Amino acid sequence: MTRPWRSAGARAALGTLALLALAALVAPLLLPDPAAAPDPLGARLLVPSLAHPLGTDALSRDVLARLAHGTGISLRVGLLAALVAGALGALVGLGAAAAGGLADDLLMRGTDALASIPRAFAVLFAVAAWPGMPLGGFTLLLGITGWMAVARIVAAEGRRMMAGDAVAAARALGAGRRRIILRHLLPNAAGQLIVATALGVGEAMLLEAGLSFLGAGVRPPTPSLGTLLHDGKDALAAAPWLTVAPGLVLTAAVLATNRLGDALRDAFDPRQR
Amino acid sequence: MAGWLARRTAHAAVTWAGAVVALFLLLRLLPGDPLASAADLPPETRLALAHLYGVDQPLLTQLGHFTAGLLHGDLGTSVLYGRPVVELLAAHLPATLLLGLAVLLTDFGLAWWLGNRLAARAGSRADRWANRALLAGHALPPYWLGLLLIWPLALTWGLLPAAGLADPLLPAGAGATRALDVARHLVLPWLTLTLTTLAVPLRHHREAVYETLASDWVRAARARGVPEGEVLARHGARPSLGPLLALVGAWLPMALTGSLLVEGVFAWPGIGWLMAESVGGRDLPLATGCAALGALAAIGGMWLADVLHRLLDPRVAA
Amino acid sequence: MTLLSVEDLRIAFPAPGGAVHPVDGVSFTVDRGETLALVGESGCGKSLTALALLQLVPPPGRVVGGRVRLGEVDVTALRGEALRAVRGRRIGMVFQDPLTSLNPVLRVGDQVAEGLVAHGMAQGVAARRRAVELLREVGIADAEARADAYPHQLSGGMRQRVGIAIALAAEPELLVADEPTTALDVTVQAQILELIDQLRQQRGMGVLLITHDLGIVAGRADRVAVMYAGQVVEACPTAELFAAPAHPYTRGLLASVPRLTGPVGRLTPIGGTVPPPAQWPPACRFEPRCPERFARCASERPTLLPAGDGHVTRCWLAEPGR
Repeated sequence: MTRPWRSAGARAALGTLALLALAALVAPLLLPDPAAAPDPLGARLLVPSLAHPLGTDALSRDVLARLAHGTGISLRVGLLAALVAGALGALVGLGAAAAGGLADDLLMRGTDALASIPRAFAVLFAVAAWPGMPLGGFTLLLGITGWMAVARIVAAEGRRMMAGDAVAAARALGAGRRRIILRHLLPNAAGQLIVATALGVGEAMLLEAGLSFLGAGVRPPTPSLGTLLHDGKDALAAAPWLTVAPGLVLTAAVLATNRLGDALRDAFDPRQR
Repeated sequence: MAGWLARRTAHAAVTWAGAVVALFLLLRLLPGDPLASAADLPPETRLALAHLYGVDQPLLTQLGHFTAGLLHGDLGTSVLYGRPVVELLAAHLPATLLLGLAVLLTDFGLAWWLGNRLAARAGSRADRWANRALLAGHALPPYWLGLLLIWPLALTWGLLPAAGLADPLLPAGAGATRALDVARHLVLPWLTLTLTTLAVPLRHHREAVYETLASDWVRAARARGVPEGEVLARHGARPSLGPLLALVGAWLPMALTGSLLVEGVFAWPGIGWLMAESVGGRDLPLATGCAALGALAAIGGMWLADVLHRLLDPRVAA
Repeated sequence: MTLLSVEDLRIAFPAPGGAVHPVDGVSFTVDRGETLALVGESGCGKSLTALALLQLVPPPGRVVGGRVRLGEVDVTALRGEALRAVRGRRIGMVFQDPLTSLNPVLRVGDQVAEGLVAHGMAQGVAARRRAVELLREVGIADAEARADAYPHQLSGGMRQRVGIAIALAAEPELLVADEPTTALDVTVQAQILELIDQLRQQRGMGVLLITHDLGIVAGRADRVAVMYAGQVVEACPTAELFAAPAHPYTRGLLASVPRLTGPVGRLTPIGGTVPPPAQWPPACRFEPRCPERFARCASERPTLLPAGDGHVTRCWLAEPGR
C-alpha cells in the first residue's frame, strides 16, 4: 500500500472535510440557536450582513447557524449510511463467497433483484410506507438500500480468495467457515471494502440531500443540507443565498469524499487509475 | 443466440419478480400502518377499507393476490388520483422518455466525440481540465444546479420557462409552435441532467480508449499507414465500446431516477415527478407501481446492454 | 544495392538515474532482394530498432541520434503525411503476436484492405478484391470466406499469414518481420518463414528478419547481425557466422543451438542474462559474462573491428597483433 496522502488533491480533500466537520462541531457553541428566530416578523429573508453572515431564512432564522448545524447532520447521515451499507455488503458478500455453490448463487441473485430497484425510488417508497420516519430510521434506510454494490465487489474478491491456496491450506488445517471469513476473506477484501464504503459516503449525502429537498428525508425543523435547499427553493428569486450556500457546501463535501475514495483506491491498488 | 436470448430474458424476468416481491415485503414489514391516511375514520369503515385493499389477509395471500394482479397488468388503483396505476404510469412515461432520450443522445454523443479526442491527448492540459470539470459536474447535486440555472435564465431574464412540459395556454393543434414550446421547456432540465451525468460515460469511454490505444493492433495499424483519425476511431474507439454499451443499460433507470429530483425542480410531469407525488400523498399503490417500473427499467437496461454487447462485439458471440 | 541503411541509431528512455539507451549506436544495411537477420536475446534492443524504422518507438522512448535512410530518404526526419506515406507503403511490418496485433472487432479482410485504402491504391470493392487476392497469395485456402472472419476465428498460423498479407498489401520495398514465428507452433514456424522467403524472391523485397533464434537463420538469411545490450557485436555473411564466429557471445549462442533439426527452445546461451540498460558495463558490455575476457575488456570500450571479408566484430580478440 502506497501512502494515500501523497497527492495535493487528496490532502485538499481531507482538509475540506476536516474543516466542515470542525465547523459543524464548533458552530453550535458560537452561533445562535439554529431554531431561534431573532425577530419573528421583522427579520425574514435578510440580506447577508455582519450580524447574519449568510442572512436569514423565511422564518427569520440565522442561515449560517442552520448551515453549520445541517452540515454536521448531513455528514453524519452520509457516514453512518455508508458504514451500514459497507457492513451489510461485507456480511452478504463474504457470506456468499464463503458458502459458495447454490447458496452463493441464490444470495447474489437476490442481491441483483434488490439492486435493480433504483435506490432513490426504494427510499422514497419506504418513506411513503412509513409516515413519521425518524432521522435514525432514514439513515438506516439509506444504508439498507446501498449495500448491494459493495456486496458484489466483496464477493468477487472473496471468491478469488476461496479458490486460492491460502484458504485450501487453512481448510486442511481444520479451520471453520467463520475463521476463514475473519482471517482470510475479510483482510483480503478490506481494501476494496474501505474504498467502496468511502465512495458510498458522498453518494449517501447526495441522496439524503435530494430526498430531503423533495421533503421526503430529514424532517423539518431539523436542518440538513437537503432541508436547507428545500427551504431556499421557494425564495430563490428573493434570497438566492439560501440556495447557493448549502449547495456549495454539499458539492464541496461530496467532491472531497469522492476524491478521498479515489486516493484510497490508488493507495490500495496503484495499478488501477 | 436464440437459446442465449431466452435464458437471458428468463433471468431478467426472475430478477424483476424478485424485486417486486422485495418491494411488497418491504411495504408490509415497515412499521407504518397501510391505512395511515384513513386514521381518522370510524373503526368499522377502517375494517371495510382494510378488507377492500386486502390488508387484513395473511401476508402470503396478499402476496398471491398482488402477483396475480401483476400478471394481468394490474398494479392496483391510485389512492390519490382514483385511477388505475398502470394508466397513470403510461400517461407520465412519455415525458420521462423524452427527457431521458435527449440526455442519452447528448451524453453518449459527447462521450464518444470528446472521449476519443481526450484519450488521444491523454495527460494534456485539455485532458486534465476536462477531467476536473467532469468531476465537478458529477459532484453537483442536479436539483441544485437546476435551481442555479433557473435563477438567472428563467427568473431574472425570463429567457426560458422554469417549469412544466408545455405552456397550458397554448391552443391545441398548433403543431410546430407546440413542438417549439416543448423544446423550450426541455432546455433547462436537459441541460441540468446532461451536465451532471456526462462525467460517467465520458470518463469511462476515455479510459477505455486510452487503454486500447496502447494495444498492439493500434501500433500495427499505424505501421501500415492508416491515417491517425481512422486509427483513433476504428482501432482505438471501436474495440472500446464495452463500457459505453454497459452504460446504455444504466441509462434506462437513470432516465427514471436521475431525473427524479430534476423532474421535481422543473415540475416535469414524468415518472420521477409522479413518484414524488405518490410519496407526498401517501399513495402506496402508486409508489409501488413507480418503484416496480424503476426496477423494470434497471433490469431491462441491463438486458439491453447485454444484447447490444452480444450483437456488436464479435468476440462475445461464438 | 543498398535499400535500407541504419546509421548509429540511438534510442533513449527516461529513467530515475538519467536517460538509458536500450539501443546505443546500432548500424547495419539491407540490400534489395536480401535478407538480413538481426539476432539477439530479448532485451538486446532488436525490436526497438525495428520499431524505430517507422518511428513507432513507444513513448516516452524516442530516437535521440543516428539516421534511418531508405533509398535517398531520411526516415527519422519525416513527419505527418510524409511519414505515413512510408509506413506500409515502403516499409511493411509483420509483428510478433498475430493475435494481439490484429484488431479483434474488425474482419481480417477489412484490415488487409485498410493498407490499400490508406495509400490510395484501391477503394471499396476493388480494395476488397485485392485483399482476397493477397490472402490467397499468402496461402490462405478459401480466402473469399476467410476475409469475413474475425481474428479470433482463425488459427495462429492463419493469423500470421493475415499479418503478412497486411504487411505486403501496399507492396513495400522492405519487409520487417519482428519475431514472426515466436508465438507459433514449431510446425507452423517453418511454413511461415518459407512463405516470407518465397515472397521476397517473387517481389525482390529486402527483408529484415528479427529473431532470438539462430536456428531459423541458417539457410534463410544472407547476412546476420548479432546484437547484444543495445549494440551490434558481430555482422557477417550467414555461412561465415556458422563457420567462423568471431565474437565470444556469438560462439555462446551457437553452442546452444541444437545441431540436429527438431524443436528449438529459448536460448540460454551463456551463464546469466542480459542486464537491464541501466547496468550495462562501461567498457565491453559482454565482459561480465564472457568466458574469454581479459584485462582490457573491463577498461576500454571495443569498436567494430574487421574479422574477415565483410565480417566485423566488437571484440578486442579480433584486434590485429594479438
